[in-house]
Amino acid sequence: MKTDNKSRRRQRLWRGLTTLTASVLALAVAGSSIVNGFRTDIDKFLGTSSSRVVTEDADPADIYTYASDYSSTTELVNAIADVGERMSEEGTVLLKNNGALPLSADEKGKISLLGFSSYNPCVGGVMGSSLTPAMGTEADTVDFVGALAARGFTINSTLADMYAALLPTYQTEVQSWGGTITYSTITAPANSDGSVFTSKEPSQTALDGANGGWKDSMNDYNVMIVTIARAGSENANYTPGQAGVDPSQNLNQTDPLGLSDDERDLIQTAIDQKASNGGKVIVLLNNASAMEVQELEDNEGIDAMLQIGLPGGYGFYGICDILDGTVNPSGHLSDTYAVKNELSPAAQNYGFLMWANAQPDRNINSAIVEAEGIYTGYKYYETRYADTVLGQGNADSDVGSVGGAWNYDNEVTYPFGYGLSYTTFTQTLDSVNVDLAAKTATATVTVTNTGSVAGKDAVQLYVSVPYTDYDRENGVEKSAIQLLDFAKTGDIAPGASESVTITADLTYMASWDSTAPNAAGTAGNYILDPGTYYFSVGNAHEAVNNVLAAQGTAAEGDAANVQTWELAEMDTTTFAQTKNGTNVENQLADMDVNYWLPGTVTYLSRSDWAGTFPKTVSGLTATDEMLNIMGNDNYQMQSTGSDVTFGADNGLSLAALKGVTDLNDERWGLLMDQINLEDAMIRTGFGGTSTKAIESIMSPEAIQNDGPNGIYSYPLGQYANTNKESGDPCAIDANDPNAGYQAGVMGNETIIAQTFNKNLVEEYGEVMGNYSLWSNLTIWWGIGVNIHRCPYNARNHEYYSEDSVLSAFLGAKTIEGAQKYGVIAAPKHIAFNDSEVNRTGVATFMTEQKAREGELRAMQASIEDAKALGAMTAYNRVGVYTDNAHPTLLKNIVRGEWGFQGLMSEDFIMDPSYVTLKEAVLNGVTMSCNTGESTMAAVSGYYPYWTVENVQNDPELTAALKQAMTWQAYALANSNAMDGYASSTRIEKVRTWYDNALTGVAIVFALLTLLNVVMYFKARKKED
Amino acid sequence: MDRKKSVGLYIAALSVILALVGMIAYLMNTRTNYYAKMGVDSTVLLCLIAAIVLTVVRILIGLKGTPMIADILPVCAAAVLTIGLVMLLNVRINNLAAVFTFENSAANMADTTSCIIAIAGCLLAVIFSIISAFFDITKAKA
Repeated sequence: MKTDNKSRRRQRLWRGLTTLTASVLALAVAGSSIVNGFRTDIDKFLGTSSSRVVTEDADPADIYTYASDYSSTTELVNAIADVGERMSEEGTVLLKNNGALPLSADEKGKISLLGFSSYNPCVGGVMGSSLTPAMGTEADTVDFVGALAARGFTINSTLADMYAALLPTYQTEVQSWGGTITYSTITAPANSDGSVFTSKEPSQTALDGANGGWKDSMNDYNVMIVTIARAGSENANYTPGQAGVDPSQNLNQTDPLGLSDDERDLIQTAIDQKASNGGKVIVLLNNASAMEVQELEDNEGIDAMLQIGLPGGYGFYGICDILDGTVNPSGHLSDTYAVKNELSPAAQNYGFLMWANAQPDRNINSAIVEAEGIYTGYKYYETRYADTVLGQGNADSDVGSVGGAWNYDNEVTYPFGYGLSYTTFTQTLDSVNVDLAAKTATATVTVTNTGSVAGKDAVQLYVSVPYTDYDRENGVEKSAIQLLDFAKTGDIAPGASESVTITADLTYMASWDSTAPNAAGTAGNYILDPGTYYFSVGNAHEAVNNVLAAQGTAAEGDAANVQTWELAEMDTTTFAQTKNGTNVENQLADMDVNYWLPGTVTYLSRSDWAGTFPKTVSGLTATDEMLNIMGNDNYQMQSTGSDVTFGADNGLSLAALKGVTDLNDERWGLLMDQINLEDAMIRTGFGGTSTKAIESIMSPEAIQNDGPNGIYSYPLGQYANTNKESGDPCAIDANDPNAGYQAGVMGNETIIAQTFNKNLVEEYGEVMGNYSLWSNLTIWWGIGVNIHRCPYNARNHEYYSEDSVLSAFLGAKTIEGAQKYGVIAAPKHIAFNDSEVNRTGVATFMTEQKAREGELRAMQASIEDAKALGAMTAYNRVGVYTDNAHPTLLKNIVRGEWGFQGLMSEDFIMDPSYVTLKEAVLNGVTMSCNTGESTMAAVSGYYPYWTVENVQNDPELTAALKQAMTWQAYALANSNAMDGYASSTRIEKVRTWYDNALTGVAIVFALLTLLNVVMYFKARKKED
Repeated sequence: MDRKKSVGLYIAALSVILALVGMIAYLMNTRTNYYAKMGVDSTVLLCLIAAIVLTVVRILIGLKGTPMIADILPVCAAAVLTIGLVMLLNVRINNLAAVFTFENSAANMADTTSCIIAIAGCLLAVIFSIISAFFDITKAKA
């Protein structure tokens, strides 16, 4: 009996051990599928590589196309830091100054930093364009306190200690699966209906409680700098007005972008202390979404105010240089700062405006009707202002006003393009020569420094186009003033002048008329109305005043600073074709909600401001047809057979087409005939994280990166070539001191926009291009060109401006700079992703005029002029179609009218039905953002219709697939991803240590399982 | 031979309950707004069902004695359960990454609760399934 028990115990032991080892064996075997599905991400996480590029018999000088401007990463990171510093030098906006700035050498030793955001500023987005701190590198990033110390300022340590002690009181904890994330900066509200902003500024009581002598400490440190911050963040949202403020706080805060009493009290305390300590009060606005700061402008106790944006890793050096006058500020606002943001026409339709028959399980959630039409930002404020002066369109009604008759001075704190300097300038518009045949207007402007210190100035060239009876009858809207182009001067010495010549592209002056005839014989065209065109300079308000003065009104403008051009007859031919010769016509009629639901909305018109001012459109009921389209299955696959060639053996590799920009070169066709249908299907279905290698055409893997503040997804050293013998001029040592450097260090995009400096922005593209060469990170989702429809979009920090022209040219310049070094720099998000609210599913409605003169105009130059090789589409719907499935947006406008030839990725859409893969491919999308195992089984498992059987017999889809892969290959062939590739190059799979580990585990545990089984049977036999 | 219940019975029963919890949570998760479009992965479901059935059969057989089949079943159950867990992670990892980052919202996080429960349930079920294999369901009375 004892023997039996002992034997049974052994059986149990061996059985248990068999179960354990068999389970680990199962884990290892099944885990292989996960490993294969997420290999790229695992490699990125672990710093491993699963493939190796082998090139034989090639001269390195021939296979490395692009050369860096720098000989080492030391030079590289210092160049990035230098651009980051200069970006804030030129992108920080001096809003007010009574002479308090710049500070004297003595005052630099008396700095009191007030407000927790002085110590914990927003340097990037909470999510998206977040700073990637550099520590232990040769260009470490710096915060405000660090920059002040580095520049020789001395700060009040009593206050610093007090705020350090108060840290827990202003931290924000965000609960998430897996733990709590604690932020020491202010944060933006979550992207949920009902989310509110909570002021974190310590109250006076809290400050007194922390240190009763904190006010006295400022007697010796009487330069009091107060930082007020509002965060920027992807997937976050400010709710307009009182509804957006934490109701549990009674801080007299009427808007999340307005001030709380705790912030007011802090500023007032500084002002009160000034009376006794004889110092200065300087306010820094640390924000990207325009704040409501009229009370600060009005407060004479505040001596100076700077808008510093979210300055990134080096921007505070530039801000310090402005504070002490080393640099003269030259930034100008890229957004209008309104008195009450919630009164803007766009804000009337913003937020969680749900369908009455919403179906959240199908991402049919909300609908945004952009009833404001073209009147976004200054185009609203300045046009309504002009009409109050002109006495037309009921502009002075009380509709949309802060109270009483609408009056510009009551509505706007700082106009678009506003910015002061430590000196003064005059700008004289000497001439404007319009050459309609060349589609240009060449303006000459003399800028004179009339002050006492040297400085730069921004020349903003505006145009006011005729608003005619024809326009009123045909629903064509015209802004009273619109930015046409801009330039930045060099440093101008006191008393000196600089002549600036701007050659503006008149494409951006034309207006879209959905009723106009066109060359295609249909409707919809860009028009120039007959009449007088007025050109002027200044900021937006000064320019419109100049125009109004020239028109004979009593506006306080300078009529002499206006040039005019007359057009005798309506022009419907000059812009009837785009730059690649494509006829334009209406493409977005279905974006008008009235197309689907007639009579739903009246769009804002300057013909009657009061009668057409937007009303909130919510609770719309989608028709069955709309619901059907929003079900996302809008292309019925054909089975008629296809003669599109796949899998041919033509002996070509992509390297043979390096740098070949002519897609009509017959080798493109021969090469792409080699691609396998399965490869094309897998790569379009699983295109996320990196654009994977395709061996049938020998296209390389290209790593994808965010974001607008620099290439930051991976450290420099992760993909860098560490083989110094390879001939790669950008190979690094394995122990390079900057191997851990990530380039998400630039100021946010509003700072970039506020420079109004195309050359500096091009430099930014260039340093990122150099970083790309050293880091081998080719694809950069870094050009945020959605516009600021509302300040409430917390993601405005990743976009430049409310103005499409400013956005367009800066985006294009960044791309031009980066592409010199072979970067695939991609504008995003095409198009209309102007809010984060329900972004997966939101149906975005607007007129075609708004679409074309707003966001599309902001994106057009990136593709038409800068020839971007990449682009990212958007989460949102365009009308009722998903952005990727819209029948005309990507196919007819982006690929057709603008001639886009590069790779195009979807945004991070995980829902396989919302990916709308087959429709997206038909529209020219080359990849979704999903990842998975590179097998047809895996991709078909994710998209059930995406099978070889279904696709191979569809002539339209197979042709589109081939075309999409051609565009993708074209982008890669003209990028630095091909560096190191020759015709002889082959890609070899490499077993990583984790592959070996998995295999080892499988073998060991298979053997152990076998052993345990044997032992079990032995024990069992003994029992028998 | 008279037999009395062993701790193995309770541990095996616990693994069944945990696997059931995991499976039900997974099915609930596939009906939430965010995850509904991904459908039900048949491999995951079949593995969980198989593991539950195998363990229940093991318990029923084990209540009567210790034939060899009762020793094979826990090995198979735990292995199948492990495969189910890995497959569950495989079909949800992209979505979890999205919900924790780009698609983070209260609604999506709420939908994710059942996913987390499913993964936790399956993981615990695997652990208890392995532990139960070291014990018999019953043991002979002295």
